[in-house]
Amino acid sequence: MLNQGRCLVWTVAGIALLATVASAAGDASLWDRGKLDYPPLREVRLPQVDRHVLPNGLVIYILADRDFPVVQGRILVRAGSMLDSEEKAGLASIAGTVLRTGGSAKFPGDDLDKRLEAIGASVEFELGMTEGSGSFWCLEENTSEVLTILADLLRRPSFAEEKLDLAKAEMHRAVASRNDEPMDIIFREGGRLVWGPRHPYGFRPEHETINRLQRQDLVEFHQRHFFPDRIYLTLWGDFETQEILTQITALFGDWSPAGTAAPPRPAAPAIVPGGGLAFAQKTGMTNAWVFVGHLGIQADNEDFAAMNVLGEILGGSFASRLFNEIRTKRGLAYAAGGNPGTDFPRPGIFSGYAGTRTDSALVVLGLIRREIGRITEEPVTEAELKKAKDTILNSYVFRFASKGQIAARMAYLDFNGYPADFTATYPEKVRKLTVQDLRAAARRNIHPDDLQMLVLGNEKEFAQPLSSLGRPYQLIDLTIPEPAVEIETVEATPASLEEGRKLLAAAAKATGGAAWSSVKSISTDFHGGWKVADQEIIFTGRTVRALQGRAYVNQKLPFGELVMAVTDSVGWRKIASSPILDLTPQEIAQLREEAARDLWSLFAKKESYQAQALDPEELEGKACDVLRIKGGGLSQTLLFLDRSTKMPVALRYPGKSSTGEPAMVTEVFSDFRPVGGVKIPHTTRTLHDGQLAITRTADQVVINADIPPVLFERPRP
Amino acid sequence: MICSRFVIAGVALALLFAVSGALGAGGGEEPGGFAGLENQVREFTLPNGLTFLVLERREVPVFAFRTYVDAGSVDEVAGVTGIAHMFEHMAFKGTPHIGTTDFPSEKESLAKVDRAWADLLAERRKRHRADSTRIRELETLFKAAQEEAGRYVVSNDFGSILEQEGANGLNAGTGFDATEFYYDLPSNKLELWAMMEGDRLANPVLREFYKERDVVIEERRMRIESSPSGRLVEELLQTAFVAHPYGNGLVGHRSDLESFTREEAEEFYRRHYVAKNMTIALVGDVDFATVQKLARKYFSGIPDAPVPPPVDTVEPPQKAEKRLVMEDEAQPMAFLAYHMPDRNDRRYQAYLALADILGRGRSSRLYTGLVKEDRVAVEAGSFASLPGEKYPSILFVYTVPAPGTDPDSVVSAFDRRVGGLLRERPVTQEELDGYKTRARARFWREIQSNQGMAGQLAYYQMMTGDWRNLFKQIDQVNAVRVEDVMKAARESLREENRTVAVLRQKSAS
Repeated sequence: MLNQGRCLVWTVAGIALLATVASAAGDASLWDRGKLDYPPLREVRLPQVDRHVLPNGLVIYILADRDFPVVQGRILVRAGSMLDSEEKAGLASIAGTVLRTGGSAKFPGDDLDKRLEAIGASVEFELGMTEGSGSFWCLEENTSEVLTILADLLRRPSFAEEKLDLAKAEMHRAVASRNDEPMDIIFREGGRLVWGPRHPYGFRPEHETINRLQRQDLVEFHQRHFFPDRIYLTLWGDFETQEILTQITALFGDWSPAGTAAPPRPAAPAIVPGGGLAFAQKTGMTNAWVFVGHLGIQADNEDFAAMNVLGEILGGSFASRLFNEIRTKRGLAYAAGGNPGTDFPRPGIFSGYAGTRTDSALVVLGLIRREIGRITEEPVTEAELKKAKDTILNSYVFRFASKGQIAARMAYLDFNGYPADFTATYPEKVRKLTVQDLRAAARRNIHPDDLQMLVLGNEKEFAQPLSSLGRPYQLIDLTIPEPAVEIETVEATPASLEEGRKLLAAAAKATGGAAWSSVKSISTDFHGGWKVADQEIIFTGRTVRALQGRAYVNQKLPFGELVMAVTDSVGWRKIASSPILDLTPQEIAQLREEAARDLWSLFAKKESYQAQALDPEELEGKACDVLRIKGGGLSQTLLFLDRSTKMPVALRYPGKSSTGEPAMVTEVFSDFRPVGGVKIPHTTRTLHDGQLAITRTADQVVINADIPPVLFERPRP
Repeated sequence: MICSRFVIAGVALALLFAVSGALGAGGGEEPGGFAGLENQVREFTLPNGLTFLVLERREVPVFAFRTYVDAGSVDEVAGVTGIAHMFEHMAFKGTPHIGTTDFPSEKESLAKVDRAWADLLAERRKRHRADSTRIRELETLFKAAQEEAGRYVVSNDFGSILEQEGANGLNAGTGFDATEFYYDLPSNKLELWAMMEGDRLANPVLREFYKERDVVIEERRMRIESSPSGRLVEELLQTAFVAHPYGNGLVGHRSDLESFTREEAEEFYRRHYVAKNMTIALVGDVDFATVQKLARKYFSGIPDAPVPPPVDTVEPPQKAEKRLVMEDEAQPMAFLAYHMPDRNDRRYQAYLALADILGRGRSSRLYTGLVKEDRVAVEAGSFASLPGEKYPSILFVYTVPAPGTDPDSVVSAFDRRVGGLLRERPVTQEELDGYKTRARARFWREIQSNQGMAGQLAYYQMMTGDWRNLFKQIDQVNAVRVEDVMKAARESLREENRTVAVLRQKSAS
């Protein structure tokens, strides 16, 4: 920081200058912002944008702009995930992705990506909740080619099977990780509480719904919804208007219209009087989270401007009421804010939220409710009103930051049925608002008693339990439902059960008979390979299974070492250098099921299972007896036995592929060797939906080794 | 500053055309366009040496500015590495007039913080003879002094003021060569901008300095220490550069960070943040004369001091291949660093073309060769000018071996591909034309926005000495010939000119 003392070391001329400078720096009134008098902001002069409608209904907004030799544009389509059925939730989103990635017959996916990259151009597309939106950018010299590509993707997408598989895998990963971030959870689940889980806006993709999607669904979706009279194109850049119009007409003009209106958006549900309270238990977060909300309004509502201003005051920034009360004053929250709940194509969700100290979740819930109540009861202050108006009005101009952006916004408003002067008249509506206007709007649109409330966290850490709120609450289970890959059910008869019992006994005898009951533990050192996508990952490791439901796994993978252990109903795991974590109930259940399915369990405790003989099948070139095993912790497991020797050939059960998708798993056994009186398979090949995925070879198997109990115990961190 | 009649007339004409262009849609007849823009850029320099570049674009009532300071981590000295990057974090902490409830009192508190830190540092410097009890006492005193000073701080004042006044995209960034500050504002707030930016540059207050220093240490931990590729790149640069400061990290050595003092930061600031060492570009709905007036009023306080000398050290030519091997549980990687010339060298454009053709995108030699054909890598690419461009730097090649492939095999495969490029399959005209198209596309994308244009004007002015070089860029790209690219390849893609860094998996225990 400068001060006069240090200035003296510089040149004489410098000193003379700096004398004035020093006084300037010391002259506080020079830096007094209060003295500033801003001229009014110059009105945004909307450029002249031409609007054309082709005979088939395609709407085109065109703006010629010669500043730079580039051309760009936006696409809007009347289709979105609001059209999904519950059983196929995720269809629209995937259709939007694969429309682009799958290319067309003329421009196949990977070639298309390469070509666009080569010419520095881009074409993007996605289907959102209420509409599809896309964009493109290219050098002027490539306009014709890029427009041709765009037309082909919109009209004749290939929906290439391999790109569909990729998109499904991506969505499976997204579903699997949808509970990783607390803010994702509260806004998603909060939204579902407001819309209701039966409402299309409340649907969410699940593994099962993604699995159901076939290429034909995408083709049908496209056929049903993509028509020129449901599409808006906006183009701006270095072209002649007439010339570009001719090109667009040539590319799109012969596309037959739907002739009917697009499906309407789903009606908004009524706000439930009294609202509701819900709780989702989640451990392992550094904060608890709170969300409250109810249905908001659409931009054509007369209170649109007022609600935006109220939203700014309530939860728009660091100076907002929510932030101030919860964080600044009380230090209870890491994040706090709100949303006015105004939106264009449909009503938004009026909401408040906070990420709080884990013990304070209910206190913060109370504070948020109180602030929402307060804003409907007392008028806001003049100072708050001014600050909120300033923030909104001062940044409003950035919606018009470029001519192209202006054109795109015009098209968007038109597409959603808003009058052409909507944007221009909005600032005045904001400016005119008084504190009384806001209070009236708050009373009309904010309903503190009808809020849907959601608390997310570990109830054990709350200072007070949820029941202390004195009202019934819904428990939200965040568990992500497993996909249903099933073994086909065949009715069991006494004969097939008796046959099954005999076959199971025969297999037990063939592999050791009475010796199985002397087995107390099996330790296996192994190595193997695991196929993921095109690559193979090598691993080594050791497993130990012991009585009383104890199991231990130590596996060395490229990214680090995985260690896991379970003792009946508790377990822990550690991956690489991450901290030690408790196993979740689901993980423990899964390990239990694995133990129950182990050949040792099946043969040593065969009486606790129900074995049903099914029709024989051929597997791996062998004629096999097939048993369906139930009970003893299993529900759907098939055991294949060699018809002649009764040695186990394979186990089959529903599971997951290496990428987390549901798959039918088949473990094929070979290289049985005697160890400690029983026969243990030394090679296991695991297939996912018939494809080889994992190979494991035992280097050493020890029966009844000396196992220190501490092996299963959770290590000190 | 150069207000000749000719320039004024030219500007007026160009303005007329620009205005009519905005009103007419399909017209587009005006000779302006991009070429016209060059004539619309005006400059002036204050008596203290601070140069302003102004481009009026009146369509929308907003403007963008970029303050570009020719100071980056390359200017740091041993013992104080990481100090340049601190100013990215300090950028908007405020001044005596912004961000404080009572500056005179705060100033005293800050002095106390500095003294408490000096005492703690002195005890720590005793190293094995330090008294751990005393250290704990001093740490407590230091913490208390910081809390005391913190009571005067108005958190995020600078940012909040700007937010309320409609600012968009408030940001700061440090690189090896330079530090930049920027945001956009509605154009009726020009004087507010001038006041706040002028105050900030002339009178910064480094409040919450030690707190931010801790944030930077955490950032270093996350980005480098916890990231195998971050560590590998750091080692690679340290090995590739034996003399030149490009071999130091951007974030600094941890021990340097831990021993920073506010005085060291202020000293760096005094030396580098002088008027002649920065350029401010404004693009948008601003009036040149008004900018000049406001500049004189608010920016004259930035010291008129000599530009600090550039880095005199020239990295000596590398005479032998260097290899370093790191073992880690992470995914294997292989990086290669080849020395290449600086931005102002006449061979530079050819090197950009080489890096692009060699390793940028799915049609590049590396991708098609190593990923698609040989299948030894799952990722492979290259880019020029790591870690900076002001001085001779590095053409950087990165590869991620396919599972089961040893990184050294990938390097061998790479060598075969380089051999192919140098001998049997030289760069083709088609490849070069593809690069030129992509370079043009990137160029236009960058300057389409006010902020992009402001950034490029300031960059060309400081990096190349003249903002006009921006308008020569496309011609320079187009002038590159296949022979130039081959010459660059033969010159640099030699084993004696490279450092190879390999991350290998720890052998299973």
